[in-house]
Amino acid sequence: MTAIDATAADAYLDALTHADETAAVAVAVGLLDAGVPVAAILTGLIAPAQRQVGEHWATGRWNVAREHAATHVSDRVVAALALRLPRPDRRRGRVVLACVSGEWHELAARMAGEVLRAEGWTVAFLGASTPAAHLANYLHDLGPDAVGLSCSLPDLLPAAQTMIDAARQASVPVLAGGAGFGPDGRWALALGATGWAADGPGAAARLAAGWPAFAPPPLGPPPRDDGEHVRLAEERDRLAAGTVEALVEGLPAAKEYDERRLACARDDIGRVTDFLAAALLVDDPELFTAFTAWQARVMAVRGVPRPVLTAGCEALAELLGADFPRSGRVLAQGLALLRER
Amino acid sequence: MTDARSPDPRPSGQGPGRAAAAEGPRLLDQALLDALGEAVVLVDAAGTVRRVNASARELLGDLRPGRPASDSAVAVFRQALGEGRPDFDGDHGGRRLVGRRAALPGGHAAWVVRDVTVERGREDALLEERRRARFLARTSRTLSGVLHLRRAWTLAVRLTADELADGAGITLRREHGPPETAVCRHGEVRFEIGPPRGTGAARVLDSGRLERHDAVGAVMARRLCPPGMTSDNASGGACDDAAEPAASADGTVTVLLVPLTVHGTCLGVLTLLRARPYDDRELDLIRDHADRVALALDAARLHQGRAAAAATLRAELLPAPLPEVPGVRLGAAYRAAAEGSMIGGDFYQVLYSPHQGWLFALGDVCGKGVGAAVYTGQVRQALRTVADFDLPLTECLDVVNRMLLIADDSRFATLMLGRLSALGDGAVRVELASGGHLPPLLLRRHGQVEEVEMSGSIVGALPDAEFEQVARTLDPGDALYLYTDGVTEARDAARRMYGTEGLRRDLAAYAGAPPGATAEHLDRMVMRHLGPNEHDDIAILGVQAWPPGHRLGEDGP
Repeated sequence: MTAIDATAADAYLDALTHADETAAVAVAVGLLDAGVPVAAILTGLIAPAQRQVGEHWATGRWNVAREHAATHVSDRVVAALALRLPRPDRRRGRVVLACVSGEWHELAARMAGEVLRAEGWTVAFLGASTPAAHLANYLHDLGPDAVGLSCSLPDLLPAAQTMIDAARQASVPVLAGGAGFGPDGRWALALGATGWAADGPGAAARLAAGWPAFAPPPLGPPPRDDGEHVRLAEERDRLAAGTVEALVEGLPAAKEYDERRLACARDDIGRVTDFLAAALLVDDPELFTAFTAWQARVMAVRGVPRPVLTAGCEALAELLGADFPRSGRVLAQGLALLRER
Repeated sequence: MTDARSPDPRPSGQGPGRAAAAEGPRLLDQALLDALGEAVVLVDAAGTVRRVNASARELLGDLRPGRPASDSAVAVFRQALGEGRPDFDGDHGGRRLVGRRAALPGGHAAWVVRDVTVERGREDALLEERRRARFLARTSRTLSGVLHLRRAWTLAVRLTADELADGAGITLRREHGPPETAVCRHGEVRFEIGPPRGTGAARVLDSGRLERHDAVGAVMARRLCPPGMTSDNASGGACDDAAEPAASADGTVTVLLVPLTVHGTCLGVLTLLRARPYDDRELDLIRDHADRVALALDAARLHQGRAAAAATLRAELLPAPLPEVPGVRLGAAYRAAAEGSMIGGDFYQVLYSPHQGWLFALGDVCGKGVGAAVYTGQVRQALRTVADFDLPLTECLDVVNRMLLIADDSRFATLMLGRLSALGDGAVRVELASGGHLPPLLLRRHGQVEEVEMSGSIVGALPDAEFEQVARTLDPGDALYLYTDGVTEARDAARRMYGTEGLRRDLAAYAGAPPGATAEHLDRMVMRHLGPNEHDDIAILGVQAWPPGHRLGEDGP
C-alpha cells in the first residue's frame, strides 16, 4: 500500500490549475493501481486539493470560472475512479444521494457516494440541485434504505426541509451531510433528519451504527411557528429591489451603476434575506452572524469596502421594519458584528 | 351505581329513644349523610369507626361504628389505612372503588368512597378505541406514502409483527411464478418463495376467506403458515435452535390467515402467529389493519408496473453519456421542464459512423412533456439512419425532414447538425447545417464570442425545406456551443429574457474551460435568472478543441 506523497498531491493540484482532466485522472488512477484504497484517494488527495481550490477562490486568486473548471475536473476524476472499482462482496442496502435543490456543489456528495459504494452500499446519485418532486419519484422507484442529502451552505436549509419532508412522506430516514447543516450538523435533526455526517467516511459509519429501517412521517400536525421565514422568502425579491433602490439614493457613486451592477447588488441582498430566513427556520441567529462574517471576508479580498455591506444591511433593516420583527432582531446581531470589526 | 339507591333515613347503629331535643341535629346530620351518593366513613384519631352512611353500608359492607376501620372487608381500603395513604383506587367485589381521606378537627377523618365502575369502563373503552384508531392511523400514514412495493411490503409485515403478533407474514401473488412471502421473525424481515400448494396460506389465497386456527401444535402450524414463519419450515436447510417465538405453555399456537382483498380480488394473505388466541375485538382490529395493508400494497403494485414502463421509456429518451471523440473535448447540460417525468422535447446526440465520422446534433421539438419526448426519439432514429450514408450535411437534413414528415405530420423540430474532424495539429474542423435552429456561439480561447450565422428551415413541417451548410475551424482551446431556446428565452420575475446577451456574457467568462463545466455554469446561470419561475426544456452541447498543453483524448473507434 502506497501513501499519497507530496509529489502526487502537487501533480494533482497542477492538473486542476490547468483544468487538465487527463492529467488529473492519471494521478488518481496511478495511486489506485499502486494499491491505495479509493477512500484514501478521495479524502487524502481530492478533498485537500479541493480545499485548496476553495481557498484560491476565497482569497480572490482564482475567479469563479477557474474554480468551477477545477472542481469539474475533480468531479470527472471521481467518476473515472468509480468505473475502475471492483464491486464489493458485502451487500448492504440501497442509498439515494441527492444535493438539496439549489445546491450546485455536487463533488462532496459524489465522493461520499463512492465511499459508501466501496463499503458495499448500492448508491444512486441524483446529481446537483435535485428538485424535491424529482427526489420523491426516485424514492418510489428505488425504495432505498436511506436518503443522503448534501447541503454545503445553510441558506438552502428551507429547501432541505422540503426534501426531508418528501423523504419522510415515503417513510425513508434521511442522513444529512455537509457543512450547510451547521457545525456538527446541529440543524439537521431539527429539520427531521435521522442523522448527520460531515463526509463520506462519517456517512458510512453513521449508516452502519443502528440505522432505522423506517422513519415514517411524524404523527399529528407540524409544530407551529410564526411563519416569518416563509413570508421573508416570499418577499425576497421585493425587499432586495427596495433595498438597492434605497442604497442608490444614499450613495452618490451608485447613481452611475449600470443595470448589470444593480442586478448583482439585488442578488447580494437577496442572499442576505436567504440566510435570514434560514436562521429563522432553525431559530439560531448564529447561522446569520457566521454568514455576515464570512461575507465580509470574501468582499474584502475582492476590494468591496465593508461599509457597502453594512449600508446594504442597514437599508434592509429599515425596510423590514415592524413587519418582520424576528428578522430585524437577527439582522441587528449581524450588523453589530460588521460594525465592530 | 350510587344514584340508583335511595337515601336511607335510619340512624346507623344507634338505639332509638334518646332525648329527641338532643338528637334533633344529629338525626338531621345523619339524614344529610345518608342522602349523599358517596360512601362516607367517619374515623376517630384511634382509627375507630364513628359513623357510616347508607352508601357506605352498601359499598363497604359490614363496617360498624365502634369497630376498628381496619376490620373492613375491602382490601384496598385496609391497605391504604395500613400504609397511612390519603387515598386509594382499586377493585372490590367486581366494582371499582375510589376513596380519599378528608381531615376533620380533633384528629378525626372522613373517608369518602365512590363507585366508579361504569365511568372507568367507559374510559377504558374510549382509551381502547383511541389506541385502535391510533394504530390504524399509523398503519395508513406509514404506508400511504410508500409506493415502492418491496419497501411497502417489508414495512407492512414489520408493523403487523410489532403490534399484533409474535410473528407475521405477508404473502403476495406475483404476475409470474409462485407467490412470495415477506416474513418478520425476531425483528428481521426476509423474503421467501411460497407458500407451496396445500398449505393453509395457499388455501386462503385461493378462497379469499379468513381462517382462524386456535391451539394448534407445531406440525399443524407448519402446514398452515408460509415458509420461514415457524422455526422448522424456514428455507435454507439449517433450522435455528431458537425456541418457537409464539409457543404457549402447552406448546400450541394460534394461527390467523387473513385475506388481503381489494375491489373483491384477493391479492395476498396476512398470516399472524401468536401464543394466545385472538378475541373478537382483536379480530376486528386485524381485519381493519388488513384492509389498509391491502390498499397500500395494491397501490404500490400498480405503481411498480407503471414505474418500470416509465423507466424504460426514460432510459430510451434521455441523452446517452457523451462518448470520447479524438481531439475533441465534449460537455453538455440537459434539463426537462417537467421535473416529474424527467424527459422533454430537447435533445442532443453524438454518434459515430464509418461513412460520416463523428456527428453531433442538438434540437428542440415543438411542445413539451412525454409526447414531445417520444418525437425526439423519432428525430434521433432518423439521425442514426442518415449517419449510415455518405451524404453532405444539408442532404442529411433533407432526408431527416422527409422521414419526420412520414412519421408524424402534426409535430416538427428545429435541429442543428454538425460533423467533427480533428486536423492533427490540435485544431478541429466543424461543419454545420441548420434545420431552423438558433445560431451556435463560438467561444475563442481568449474570450471572444462569435455567432455562427446560417439559414435553414425547420424539419418535419414542409416537404421542400432548404438547408445551408457552413464550416469553421476551432483552434486549440476554442469551443462551439449549441443551445435551445429554453436557455435564451428564460424569463426572470420582471419578465426579462436571459437572451443571447446573457449567454454571450456568461460564456466569455469560461473561455478555455472544459465544456462540461461551461455547460453546467450556463445551466446554473439560467436557473438563477429564472428564480422561482418555471423553466422550459433546456439543452446545451459544447465541443472544444483540446486546449494547448493538454494530452489529447484516447483514440476513438
